[in-house]
Parts: sequence; structure tokens; C-alpha cells
Amino acid sequence: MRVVSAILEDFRNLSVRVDLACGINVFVGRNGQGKTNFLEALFVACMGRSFRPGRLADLVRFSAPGATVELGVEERGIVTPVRVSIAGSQRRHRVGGRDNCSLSEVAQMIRAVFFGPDDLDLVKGSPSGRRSFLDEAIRVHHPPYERLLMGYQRLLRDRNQLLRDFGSGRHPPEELLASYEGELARWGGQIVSHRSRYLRDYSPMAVELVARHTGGQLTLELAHECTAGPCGGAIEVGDAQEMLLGRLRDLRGEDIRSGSTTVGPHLDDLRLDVNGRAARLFASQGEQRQVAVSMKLAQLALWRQKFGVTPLLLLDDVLSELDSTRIRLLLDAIAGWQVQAVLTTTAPPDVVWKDDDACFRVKEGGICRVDFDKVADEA
Amino acid sequence: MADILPKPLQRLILVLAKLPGVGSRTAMRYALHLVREGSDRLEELSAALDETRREVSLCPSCFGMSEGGGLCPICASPERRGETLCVVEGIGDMPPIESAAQYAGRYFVLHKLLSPLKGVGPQELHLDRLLDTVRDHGIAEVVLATPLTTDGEATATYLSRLLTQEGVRVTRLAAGVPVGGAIEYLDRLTLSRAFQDRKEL
Repeated sequence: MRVVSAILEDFRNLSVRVDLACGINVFVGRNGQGKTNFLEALFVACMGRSFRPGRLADLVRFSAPGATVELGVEERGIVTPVRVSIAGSQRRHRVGGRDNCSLSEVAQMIRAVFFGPDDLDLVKGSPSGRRSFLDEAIRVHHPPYERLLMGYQRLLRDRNQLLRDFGSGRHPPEELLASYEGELARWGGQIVSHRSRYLRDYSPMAVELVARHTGGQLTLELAHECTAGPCGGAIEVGDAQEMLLGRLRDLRGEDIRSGSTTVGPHLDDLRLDVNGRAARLFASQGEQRQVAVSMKLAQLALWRQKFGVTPLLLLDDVLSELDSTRIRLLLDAIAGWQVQAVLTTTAPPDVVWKDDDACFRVKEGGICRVDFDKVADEA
Repeated sequence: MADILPKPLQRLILVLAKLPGVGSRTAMRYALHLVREGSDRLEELSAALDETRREVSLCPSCFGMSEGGGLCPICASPERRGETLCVVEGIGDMPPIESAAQYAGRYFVLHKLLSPLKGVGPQELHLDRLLDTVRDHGIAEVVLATPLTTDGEATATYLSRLLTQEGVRVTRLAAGVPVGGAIEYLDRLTLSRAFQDRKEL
């Protein structure tokens, strides 16, 4: 599966046609010219939503009635048009001749993985970012996981309300709190088990890629930090539920005093150590970025292994803090997987490009293909 | 828009618009239709409303609907097996269970589900009456037929704790593959539940 062409109409500041190469496509331009908008258009066409916050209507060029993005998706020599149109807050997908396709139908055809500067938070940010990283990946493998998360959040708010009721002197029956703890453990245990099983598959991949992309200079270790109890390796649903239920009971008194639930998957973390020390505190900015990129790529590798579909890789301004050796290692890895990638940069890195790669210059909403050696002169 | 209409009609429209699934435009259509049909139709409706108000009340035993302040037809029926009790959320859940014709016991209607966030606790569910019914009528089995939502499940869990202490058998409606349903199109959470709850043949 690869994207051979993209036609954008009134998508933010872009109305262009671009023919993409099957290797690495590099989009070069100064800030504010439309590089990220182009990545966003590809992402919206594949995933039905943007990676930026905001409303769908924001994607439409000011004063235009609607925006469209049409991708030519090639599979075994056959090109199928995948088209998304946005009008107001409405999004419609057409795949081939079939209108009003659901996102899961689109996903069978094409997927995209985006990586941007904000993803650096994966390493240096708060645990919630790492939880969403895990949860998003699990959702791809197991869509009903989303409903588990929502159900858990709902029950969590219910238990917290009961805790506060206790604290404020109103006394709901103990049995009621116990019932909600039972339900919370039932849902939460499934989440803990899902995460641990995903990490069992994912961790070796991430460790290997960090080592490979850094030429063995960085060693990553991942650990599922589970507030309910020790959680090394994959944990069965029943065991996770029992463990969580036990902790909820033990902590009930404390939780009543604090008015909130202090154990459960909503507080778990994914600990990342680089060369034996916490990556969040001790790794340099460049190392953190390297680890974040490799972790994201490991997600993609797992995805590929499991579904046989290679997602389109979208990299927004991720090369800027990597040195040229690491950039080369990263690009080699992408080329080695035969993944189609689109990346943006303000200045093209000085590496040897392959025939499958292409370079484009983005200027004031216009995009044209240029030679790699020429674009450096213009920049 | 309704300003040009007579005041009583405006009030009727406002009242009708409180009905489920009825917005202001539908309410106006209904109201104008009733007036156009003439006084017979209005009389008919007002008599039916009046009779409902006078005659229909909650059954003192199951909190379902009954007539004339007495027991509802199900509680009053000698044919009904008295030792099983089916707990449902609303009165609307009873007709489908009845038409499935699989259940021949009595009912208990909660009218609400537990929800600490919305301030609905056990006392709002008149559970003391449920326990009285279980004790006084020698109930042997309680079937929990609350919905399979987070509130419905939490309510079922709480009730089962409460009722097990009474030494009564507590069962829960099965969750899983619908009859006539193809596995291929089943949503995955239901499917995983169906696997958890699979039974020996």
C-alpha cells in the first residue's frame, strides 16, 4: 500500500496536487508556508481527524465552502481514490466508488502514523501522556478498549463521589462502596491486563529500535509501573482484577480522607530508563527525542507485524535536534522497512538520498518537486 | 411563532412539548390537529387523561402500574409463580419480557438506577420494599434484569450483595450473542463478554 498522489482543494492554505515517491518524501520550507498543513491533509484523509486540536471546520480555507483531499492509494498496481470532504462540521469519506464510508472501512485501505514536536512529551512529560500513548496503540489492536476506558472513567467518578459523600458525613452503606469497588476493579483489571499484554509485545521492539537507531549508544528499558501491584510480564485479567480489588479495599480509609481514588490504571505509568537512569530527568533533549521517535516507530513496526498493512509515516520537524549520524540511521531504518514516509524540515539534512526518495519545496501554499541538491542552495 | 395563537392553545403546546420525542413544532402540530378535529376529539382525550389520573397508580407490591389503587394484574394473578422475582429498571422493560413468554414470576420495578454522580443512592430505589417482598413472599430466586450499562451493572452488583445476605438465589440475565445474530457483525465487547460467559453443553 502506498500513496501515489494527493490532491488538496481549499485545505487550510493549500490547493495543490502532489505526486509522491514511494520512499521518503522530504518537504522543505520556512515556517508558516504550509508544510505541516500538507501532513495534516494526509492524516485527515487516512484517519478522519486531525492531529491538531480544533474543529473540523478550521481545516477549510477561510471563506471557502468546503475542503477536499483525495489520495491515490496504490495496492498491487491498482490505484483506488480515497477522498475526504469537509463541509462545516461534516466529514464524508469516499473509497473507490463507495460514498459515506466508515472510518474502519477507510482503515482497511490505509492508515497513517503521525509524529510531531509535541510527541517529545512522551519521554519528558507527565504520566498521562504515556498512558494515552499506550491506550491509543491498544485501541488500534482492540477497538472495544475505548469503551472499557470510558466505562472505567465513569465508575471512577462514581466511586470518588461516594468517597466524598463519606467524607462529608453522609453515610452511604458500606456495601454500596464495596459494589462500586467491585465494578471498578472489574473494568480496571481489564485495562491493566490489556496494557501489560501490549507491553509484552511492544517493549522488545522498542528496546531493539532504540539500540539500532543509536548504533548501540542508548539502552532503553521499559517498565509498566502499576499502582495496583507488581505487574512484570503479561498479567491475566482475573489476577489484575483481584490485585486491584484488594488495593481498593486496603486504601478505602485513605481514599475517603483524600476524597479520591489513589490506585488504578488512571494513575499507572510507563517508566522509561535510558542507560539505567530515568530518561525524563537524565537524558538530553536530543536523546529524549531519539527515544520518542524510536518508540513511535516501534509502534508502527508492531502494527505492521500484526496487520500486514504498513501505515503511512508522517514526521513533522523531527530531524531538527538529531545529529547527522542518527538522522542517517533513522532514515535507513525507514527505508529498510519499505515504509512510505513524508517528513518536513526547514533545512534538508545532508545525507545520501535514494532513487525512491523525493524532495519538495513548500512556499506560500505552493508545492513543487525539486532536486535534493538544488533545494539546499535556495534555502 | 405561536404568539398569534390563543393563550390556552399556547399552554397546550408547551405541555405537549415536554413529552419524550416531541419538540415545539411537533407539539404545535398535535395541538392544532386536536383543535381542528373538534370538540369530540378533545373531549375524548381529556376524559382519557382524567381517568388515567384518577385510576392509575403504582402497584404497592411491585411498583409497576395498577388500576384503582390495588395490586397490578401480575401481582394479583394466582397463575404467577410467586417464588421468583424479576428486578427491572423501568415499567417499559416489562412488556418485552412478558412477550418473550419465558418468565412466569413476579416483578419489581426500581424506576431508577444507582448513580452516585447524579445523587441516586439506595434509598431512592425503595430497596427496603424489595427486601420486604423477598422476605414476606418467600422468594427463592431474584433475577436481576437491569441494563448492561455501567449504572445497570453497578446496581445489579449492589443488589446481589444485599440479596445474597438474605439467603436468596440471585441470578443475572446473560449477556452475549443475540439469537439469529452473525458472529461476524457482533460488536467486540459483546463478543468478549459472550466468551467469558460461555456455557457447557
